[in-house]
Amino acid sequence: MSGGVVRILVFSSLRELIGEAALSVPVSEAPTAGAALEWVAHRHPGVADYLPFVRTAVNRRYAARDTELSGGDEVALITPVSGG
Amino acid sequence: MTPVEQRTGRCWIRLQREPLQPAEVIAFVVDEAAGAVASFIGTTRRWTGGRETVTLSYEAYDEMAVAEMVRLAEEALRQEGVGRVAIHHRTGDVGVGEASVTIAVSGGHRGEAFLACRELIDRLKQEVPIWKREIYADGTREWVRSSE
Repeated sequence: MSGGVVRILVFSSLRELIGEAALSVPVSEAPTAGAALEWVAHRHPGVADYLPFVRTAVNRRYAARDTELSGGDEVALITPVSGG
Repeated sequence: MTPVEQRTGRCWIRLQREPLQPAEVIAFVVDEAAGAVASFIGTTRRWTGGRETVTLSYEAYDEMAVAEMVRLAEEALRQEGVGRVAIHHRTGDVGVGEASVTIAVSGGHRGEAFLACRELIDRLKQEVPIWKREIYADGTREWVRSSE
């Protein structure tokens, strides 16, 4: 497991719930995209309700929750989108 | 925010806070090889189920939204007969009657142009990381939970 920090980005309703747009987490505590999502859910009550609906992205591409993370990676927690 | 965009010979994707100019996407796709240009403009609707909207407020994961729109455009461009694609999307507040998204596609014939344009807006609504919030006339505001 590599060292370093991953940056977690949240948007829209999730951003408002958490009160911040970005969080930094050691890779050791968020070794996969799914673990990053759970890390956030563990610390912010209410996020758990979103878990079934959130898609994860790593470095600006949709990525499965078991995608492994490295220091410097950017993970985004993407609630159902509503553009257009 | 300065506009975030990617432009190549056959594809122009742009995310911007300023009002959209539909003529820009159409002018980009016009091409001597094309027999048809299909376009779509999404606008802010005042009434939804008896509730009055005054503004839609859009938020985007800017860099990924552009990357995803490029990916969708490139898939459209791989289809037989599709010539050029342009997609512009707005962020921030979009008032009633104003455009939030403009799409234009040129093709050899109308069939492929219409089809690609329809697929682009449908997939944009499912896949591109952009979110909108309804600002209602009664002062309430709600994130739109799912795309149509």
